[in-house]
Amino acid sequence: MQYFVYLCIYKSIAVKLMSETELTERCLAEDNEARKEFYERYAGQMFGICFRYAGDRDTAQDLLHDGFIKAFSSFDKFTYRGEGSLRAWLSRLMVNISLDYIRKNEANRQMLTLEQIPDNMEEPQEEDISLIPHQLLMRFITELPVGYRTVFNMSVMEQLSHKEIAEQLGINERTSSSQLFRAKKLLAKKINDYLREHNL
Amino acid sequence: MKQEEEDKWIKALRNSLEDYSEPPLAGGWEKLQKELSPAPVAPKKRSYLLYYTAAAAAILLISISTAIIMTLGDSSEKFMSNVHFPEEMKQPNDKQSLKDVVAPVIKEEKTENNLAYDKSDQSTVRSNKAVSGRKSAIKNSLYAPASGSVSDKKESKAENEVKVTVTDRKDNVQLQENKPDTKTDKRNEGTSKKEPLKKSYGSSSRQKVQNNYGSEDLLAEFYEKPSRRHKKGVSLGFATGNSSGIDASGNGKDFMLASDCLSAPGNYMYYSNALVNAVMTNLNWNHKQPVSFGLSVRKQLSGSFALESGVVYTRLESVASMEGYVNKEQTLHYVGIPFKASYLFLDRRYVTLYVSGGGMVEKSVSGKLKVTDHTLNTEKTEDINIKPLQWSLNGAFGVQYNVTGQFGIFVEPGVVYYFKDGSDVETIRKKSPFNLNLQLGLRVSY
Repeated sequence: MQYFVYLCIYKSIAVKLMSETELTERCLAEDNEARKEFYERYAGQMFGICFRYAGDRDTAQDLLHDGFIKAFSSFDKFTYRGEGSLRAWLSRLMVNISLDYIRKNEANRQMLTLEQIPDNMEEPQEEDISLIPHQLLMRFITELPVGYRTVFNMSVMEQLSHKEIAEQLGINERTSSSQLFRAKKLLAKKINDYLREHNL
Repeated sequence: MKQEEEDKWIKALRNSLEDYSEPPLAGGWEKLQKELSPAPVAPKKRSYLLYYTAAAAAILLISISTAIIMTLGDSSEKFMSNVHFPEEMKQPNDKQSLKDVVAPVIKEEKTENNLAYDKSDQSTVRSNKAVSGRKSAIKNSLYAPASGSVSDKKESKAENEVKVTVTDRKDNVQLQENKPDTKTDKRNEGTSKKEPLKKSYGSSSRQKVQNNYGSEDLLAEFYEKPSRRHKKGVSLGFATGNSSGIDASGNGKDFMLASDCLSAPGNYMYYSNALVNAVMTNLNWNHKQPVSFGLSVRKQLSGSFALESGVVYTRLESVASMEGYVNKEQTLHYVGIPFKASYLFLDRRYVTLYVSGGGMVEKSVSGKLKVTDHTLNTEKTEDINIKPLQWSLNGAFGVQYNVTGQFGIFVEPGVVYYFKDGSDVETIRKKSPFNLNLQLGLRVSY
């Protein structure tokens, strides 16, 4: 019985220790165990990406699911290029899935929102950001209108240039940068409001 | 608005959120797994076509392989059926004099005197060796000097010129000629009538024989009668199971000299043995199609390439036989280690199709030669030991059924080339170094 327990523990640890290369190869070979490990290892973070774009958890779950399906079927297109490349590839895939969804969803096409931009030019302090829980920051972002949110995500999180954003979304660069500006303004307000409310 | 530098707070925001993670929903993997188990959703329509193609290819492959094995494996029967002796010739008994055996066939006796010929000219010895067919065997039995036996391949090769052996599967050799007033030419004609592929019929060698023995009359008469009676004479046909045909010169090992058995002329005592031996000299090996079984380990590289190695067991079986006289069975067991590279051009959940190429090194781990002599009613089994390693190169097309992601069963028909292994043992690999082969096995991929 003891040995059985040790074996289980060992097995679970051993599986966790699968390297990125091994994971890649075995997923390519459609190894079920590797695929499960791959999912369990990256699902949490990938959900974060989808949630950032989708704005709500249900949609984010669907996007996550679709993203993994697509990932498993296109492993042959991935070439391992060093540590972190697997995650980067998967992240890009998830972003693309999310953007596809946003582009297709008519309701999301409101790039130009009439949301009022606050006049307050006050920007949060760098050190203040660390005072705010991650979940809250995420919530602030998902509360942004979809147009601002998308551009914010692509520019700040994915670090794409306005030119690239414009290409992807079918808008022009100027629109992209103004969207980003407005997004930042809104976020700054939310952060500052929070900090004020909590006397931070 | 234009910010060359990123706001520090924005940077902090990114750092805070870039590893943001929420635990996946319970059942998320199960839901995913359900969708993954059958063929991937996206190329659904396309994959059906691929599956059908894969299935068709697999069926075609297997049927071709089976057909190859069946046709090549069955040729021993063809071989046997081609061998027959004239009805008048009884089966020689142990120690029965050839005279008794042959007399009814010949009908006319010759005095012993005529049999005393000058045997001093040893160049005729050579003609004793590469003989075939009863006619030559008898002749040599009569005149064979006491010279030692030569089982040297080289010499026998030279003597292939005198050989009447068919080197083409279908031809039968007519050993007797129809015209009674046989002279040298006639005999030559008769024997060289069916030109074998080798075209090395040396009428010159024959000439030697004639000249040295001088008395063609006896010979003439000796053969005349049979020829009158049996227009067709003895037919000996040779067939092997090998697609590449017979290589007559490879028979060195089987050559035994009829001359071993005789001492004085006119001594018919051991002619039966001589006859049998002479008959045995003309046995060609019928090699059965080898089949290999392997356990293979394959390491997949990026893309569709893989390297593999493993262990392969092969069994080589050959039969050489003359109905009623002698039967030889040779079985060899080889164990080898292959080294191959494969390109997987179709790799799905259940089926993988690939081509591979590589080499193998094998060692014969055991072998047996069983000789059954029906005339003497003996059976002898000896071990065959082949010391040198067998190297080969091969290319194959493979179909693999994937039981799980790592484990599969495969069928690989292909072509193989065997390098000379420097041994004397006759196998299908020596006879036809470039050949088809079929390998089955189990494979672990990782």
